[in-house]
Amino acid sequence: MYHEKLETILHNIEKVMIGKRTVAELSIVSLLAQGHILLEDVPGVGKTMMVRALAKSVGAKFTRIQFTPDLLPSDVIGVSIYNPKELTFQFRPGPIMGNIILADEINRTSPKTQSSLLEGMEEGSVTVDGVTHRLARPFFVMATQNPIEYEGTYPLPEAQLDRFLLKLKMGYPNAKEELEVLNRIQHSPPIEDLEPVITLEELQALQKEVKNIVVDDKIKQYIVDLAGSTREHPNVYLGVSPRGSIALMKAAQAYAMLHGRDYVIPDDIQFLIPYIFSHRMILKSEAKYDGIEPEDVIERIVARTRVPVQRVAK
Amino acid sequence: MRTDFGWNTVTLLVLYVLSFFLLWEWLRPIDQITDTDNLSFFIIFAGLSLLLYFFEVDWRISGLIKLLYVVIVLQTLYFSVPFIGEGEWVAAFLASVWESVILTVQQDWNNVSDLYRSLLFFILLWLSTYLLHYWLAVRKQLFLFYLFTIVYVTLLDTFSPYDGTNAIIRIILFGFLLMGLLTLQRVTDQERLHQSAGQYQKWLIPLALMVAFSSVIAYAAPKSEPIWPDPVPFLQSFAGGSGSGSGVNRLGYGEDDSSLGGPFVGDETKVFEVVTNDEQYWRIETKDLYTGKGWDQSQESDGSGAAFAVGEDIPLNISDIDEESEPVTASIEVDLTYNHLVYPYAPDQVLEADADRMVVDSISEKIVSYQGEEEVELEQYEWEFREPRYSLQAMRDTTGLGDYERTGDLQRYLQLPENLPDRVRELAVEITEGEDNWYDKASAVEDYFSRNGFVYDQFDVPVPSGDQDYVDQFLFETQRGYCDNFSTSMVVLLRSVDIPARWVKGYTQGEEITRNEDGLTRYEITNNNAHSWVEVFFPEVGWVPFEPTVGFSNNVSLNYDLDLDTETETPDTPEPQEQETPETPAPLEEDTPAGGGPAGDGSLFGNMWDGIKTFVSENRFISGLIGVAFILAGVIIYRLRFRWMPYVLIYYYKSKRGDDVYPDAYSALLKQLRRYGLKRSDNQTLRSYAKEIDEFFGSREMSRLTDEYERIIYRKDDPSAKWPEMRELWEDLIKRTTG
Repeated sequence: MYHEKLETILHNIEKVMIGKRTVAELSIVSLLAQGHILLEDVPGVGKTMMVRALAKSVGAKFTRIQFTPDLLPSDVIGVSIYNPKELTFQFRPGPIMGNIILADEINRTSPKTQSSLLEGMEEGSVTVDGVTHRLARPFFVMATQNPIEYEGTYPLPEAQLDRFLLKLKMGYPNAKEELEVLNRIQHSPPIEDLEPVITLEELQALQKEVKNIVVDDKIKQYIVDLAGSTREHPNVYLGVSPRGSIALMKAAQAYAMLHGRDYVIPDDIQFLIPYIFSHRMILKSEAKYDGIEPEDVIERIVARTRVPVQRVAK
Repeated sequence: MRTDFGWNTVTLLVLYVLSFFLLWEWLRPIDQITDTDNLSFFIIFAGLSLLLYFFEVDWRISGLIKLLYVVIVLQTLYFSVPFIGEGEWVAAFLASVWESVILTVQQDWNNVSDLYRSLLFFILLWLSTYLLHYWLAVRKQLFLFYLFTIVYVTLLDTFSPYDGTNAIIRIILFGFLLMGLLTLQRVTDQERLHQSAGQYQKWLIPLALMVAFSSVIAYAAPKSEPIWPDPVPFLQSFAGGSGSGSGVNRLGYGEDDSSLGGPFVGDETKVFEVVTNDEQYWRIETKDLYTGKGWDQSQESDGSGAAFAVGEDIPLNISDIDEESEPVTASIEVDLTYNHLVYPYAPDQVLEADADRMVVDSISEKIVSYQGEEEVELEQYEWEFREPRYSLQAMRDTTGLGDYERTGDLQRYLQLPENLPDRVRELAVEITEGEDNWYDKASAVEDYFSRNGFVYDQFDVPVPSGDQDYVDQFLFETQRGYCDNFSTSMVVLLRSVDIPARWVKGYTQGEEITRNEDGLTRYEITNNNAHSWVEVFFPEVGWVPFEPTVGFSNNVSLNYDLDLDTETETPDTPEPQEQETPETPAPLEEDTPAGGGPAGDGSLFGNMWDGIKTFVSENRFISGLIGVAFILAGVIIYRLRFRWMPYVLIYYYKSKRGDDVYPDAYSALLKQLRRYGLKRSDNQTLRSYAKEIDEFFGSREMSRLTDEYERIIYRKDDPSAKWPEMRELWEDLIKRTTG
């Protein structure tokens, strides 16, 4: 079963990351579901370490783009340079041409540069000077953004946010975990010793296999009920799109596989829904002023929606 | 020694007192069934012994006390010398015991001395009290003893003169209290609970209420008659008639009816088979002289009478019959041959018989077959007869003897023994008081038995002793009996109000064996079908049969009345109306053994229902209380359904097979858990709920069950394979919810 392989990846990450199992799990879910992750957190909590550990574990090419206000799209996707020897323009691929990409502080750069990355994420390919270049497979972006209240940021537009499968927060480790981090890091950072536990081909096979995880009609109905509720909720200005429902289903399949099941259960949905829905809905201004977060709304919706536990009447 | 006196001790004292009462119930019957006197010494000994156990007196001291008591009692009982002073009795005492021990070893038990017997009895009691003490204080279980106490008393009540009616009530009361308290003790011991007054209250009040309530209900409720007859008379007579009565009678036709009564056993011996069109009674003979003990003939039958041969008209006119009706035939094959013929009610002629003449006895109307001068026993004969029809109008018009008044021909059907008790006559007058014609009077008497709780019984029927009258005994004392009791009583009652009646013997219609295509049915008549009934004389009609015997059916009699009522609504039809008396009331009133068969059950419920109805109308307050109690009990049972429902469910799902069993059982489990108080909210997933449940019970079953259930509903696994492996887990878990 694939389950063991996925477990070893998790185990690998945990060697490096302490007390971040949920983030690690969700990263693998996103990788399996061929989605991307938006990490919203302050610097220094281990985002980079997380992605590097994941990349090393799957033996993938890891690239990193540090977004700055003056970064240009060509710095991301690559540029054609005239080769005087051969009298031709030669394409020099940008950092987007890796397997696992850390897009750091994505909201620091201009919307133009942002969209160059996001378009690549969506299309799976980039076009430079009329030539289309396919991006590497698997292709997985983990973008981080500083909390948007910070000065000098370009918030990602809602339509762009939808491109991310999951949005999650890393959070600070607790005191005990932090102590453990210090202990481990003292001599040599353990990331250097990580060995790949799965090949890229195997990872791609897993990505294909995820599609075969059974999602019963009742589960689909449950997803639809939940998504529908977000559109009707009084605090919500813009509810979750059907793309959000699809994302939830795919993520649930990957999550089920990660837990050794070949079928999705309502628990998967309930676990994943805040990570998948929260960045896909816009609350009304009144609700924002009242301090209501999208996560609160989702929690209420889940509490109100009946879990399917009976077989459909024949 | 016991010195502390807490709640625990008080309960223990109560337990000892109650068990002493139970032990007492063992001693009570002894003076009645054996020659034991001075029982009080033994009772005191039992009490003393238990008391010593209660106070936890050192075994050496208590043993000494008891031994001393035994010796003193035996000395005072068997030696008339003072206890202290003269020492001779000691030697005699020991000698007597020693002698008896030797006799015991030699198995010469009849000659052991009374002193020795008493001593042994004391020892037995000593052992019993020790056992009781052990059960109470150590095992804290007493059910076996309780059960045996009940068995002991019921057996004595049944097989000895001892009357256990009150004993059983006492035993129930003491026993249930005892066991209830013991259970509390056991539970507190096992769970190491601290015993407090509040706890006792919580336990004792419902216990006392329940015991009191159920006892009152049991005592006040109407009780149906035992389904099984009292076996004692039967056993006694079976064993050779050491008891009262003339021994058990074998059923069947017999000529001597001069001493009726006593139990009889059923007899399946086939008498004859008949092929005919419809069910009917088969007549043999009539009797006219009631002696106070049974039946006889007023004139000695000399065998004379009108003779007829095969194919000739029969010189016998029981009643006026409709000449228009179609003649039907009945062919009879006899297994148990007699010299008489059984015949239907309106015979035309004998179509076939291997006899050259037959004689109708002028006194008894018995038809005897002759070959030459010799009586012969026919193995086969065939009747042509008509179905009898009696004019109801004519019968209703009858109020007196009419022309027969002067002839005196009917006097022999009116005679009664001189020493017939007056109360029989008074009863007859009372029964027929409201009726003005003979038919309605006869019907009133016929119905009297079924309406007044007379019981059909073949076993517990005594023979009247001394100068007791057979009918009087049945009507006023036993009120139970079989056809002879009922038919004889009806004849006597009718004669008491000057209606001529006689006693008829024969067979009922028997058991249907096969039904032929031509509409004829074959019936088998066995000795069990031997029967007696009543004929009443109406001047315009003749002899009309009546069937007073109850025991199996009063419904049939009611239908019978309704039929008549509808018929009387058409008064302007003068033609004779159909009334197939022998058939209509007959089907359930054969002399088949009581206690078996669906018919018996039906009337049993009928009787019970009647009993309940009269009870309710007589005791409105108590009935109301009982009603409220039932409703309360219903509510309580409903409220406590989570306690008993699992057992129902387990039983229900135990044998269930099929695809949906596991999902259904799982849903039932969810419901049961909700009843238990562990509710799953609608937004909770099964997995997290299962975790909660397992944490609550400290189990793992729910998670495993849920895992399989999830596979069925979220993965569409085939549910049929799951149940066998999951059933045990399921049962384990659902049983936990009863605690």
